[in-house]
Amino acid sequence: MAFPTVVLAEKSIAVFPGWSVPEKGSGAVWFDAPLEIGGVVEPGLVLHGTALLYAPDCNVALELVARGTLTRKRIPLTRIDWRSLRGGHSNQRGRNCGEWSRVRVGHTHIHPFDMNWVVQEERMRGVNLPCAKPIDRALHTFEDVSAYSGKELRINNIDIVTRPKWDYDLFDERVDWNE
Amino acid sequence: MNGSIGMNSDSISEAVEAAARHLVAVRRVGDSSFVSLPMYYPDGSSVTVRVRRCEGGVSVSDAGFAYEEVADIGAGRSFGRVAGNLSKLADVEVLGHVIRVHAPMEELERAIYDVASTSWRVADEIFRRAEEVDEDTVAEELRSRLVKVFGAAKLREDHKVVGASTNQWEVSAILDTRGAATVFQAVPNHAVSIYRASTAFRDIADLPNPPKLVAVVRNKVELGPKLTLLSQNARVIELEQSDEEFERAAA
Repeated sequence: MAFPTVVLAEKSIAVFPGWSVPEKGSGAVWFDAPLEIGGVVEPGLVLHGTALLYAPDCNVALELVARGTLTRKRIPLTRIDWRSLRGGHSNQRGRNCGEWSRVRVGHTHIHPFDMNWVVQEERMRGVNLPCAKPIDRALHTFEDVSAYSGKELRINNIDIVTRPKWDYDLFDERVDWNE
Repeated sequence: MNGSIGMNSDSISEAVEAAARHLVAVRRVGDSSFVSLPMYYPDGSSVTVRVRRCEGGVSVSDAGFAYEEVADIGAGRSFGRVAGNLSKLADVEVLGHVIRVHAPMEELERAIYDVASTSWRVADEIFRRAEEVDEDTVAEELRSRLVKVFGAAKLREDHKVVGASTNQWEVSAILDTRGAATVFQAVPNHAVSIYRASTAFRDIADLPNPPKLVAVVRNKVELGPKLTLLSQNARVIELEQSDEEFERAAA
């Protein structure tokens, strides 16, 4: 199925497998949830999620990923980054990111499919969604991010994705995200 | 006044200072400080390190962010080897998916730089290979096919052709049959690869006694209008076409 068709189609998560056990070194957790279109699970099409177990309520990414070729196994199609601890995203020069070229966007942003798809050549731009723009509303909780992502990625049952089992330390300082 | 040409020196200083302040950002989460630096991974996100206190000083790591970058494109398996090699150069270590170093407090700045630069280099190296490997894969498949159809003895070891401009072109394979040479070039369906192949074909075709030129693609229909460009100076066949069609292309 062509990528634009996949992106526009109404999708459902076939199974939410739960978040992985944390990676030993980084504390990262992730999941790949297979997606179906019209009741049929599409090969290699997944909702991919990442988070850090020791960093609650931040650094979550939810991404629509398609199966690639023999040489490039995963092709990200759209990604939402929420309160990224990497401080944001810089749209490079000459990357044809439209009005967002050369602009640095903040910690919460979306890499939309249509900014990263080269229509004339029918391929994705770059290797991993080089163009991003800010999200036009405040997302305060994991559930806010999930709901927003469900709408943007056209996944109608994204609410079955549970929040990561974050450790909330009562003595943590409250982080100001300037939202 | 801003209506005049250029800014005055005070305005420029203020702008520079504001820009410099934004180049580095620090955010505290729990017991960690995350430092985002003016270095960008290939996809545009900032290289960021995590700093925590540890016995004897500080632990500085990339929090697994380089691994996350490359795993996102299915290249996670390359991480261990590439990170292992590059971390030795900077005297940092790799633990699982994390690049890190433990250092005394007075070496904090150096530790931040060493971890950040290693993390960036790992992601850059793996992304660069991911962009190159498409063309290499098609070329390898083509060479295997040519060996099967024509035999290894007929393929030259040398892959270079000098065009009429004296520019030297690296090609996928050169076949010798009945005293004549045929150049085969694998052309993936990327604009840059197609334009490069077309330029090479035009230059080689301008030689006084040019070899035959054959462009080998995955799918002619998918090329669209670029097929016309490619076929201006070369025959075009698909990788999966029959042995007879390969022989006809080289005839």
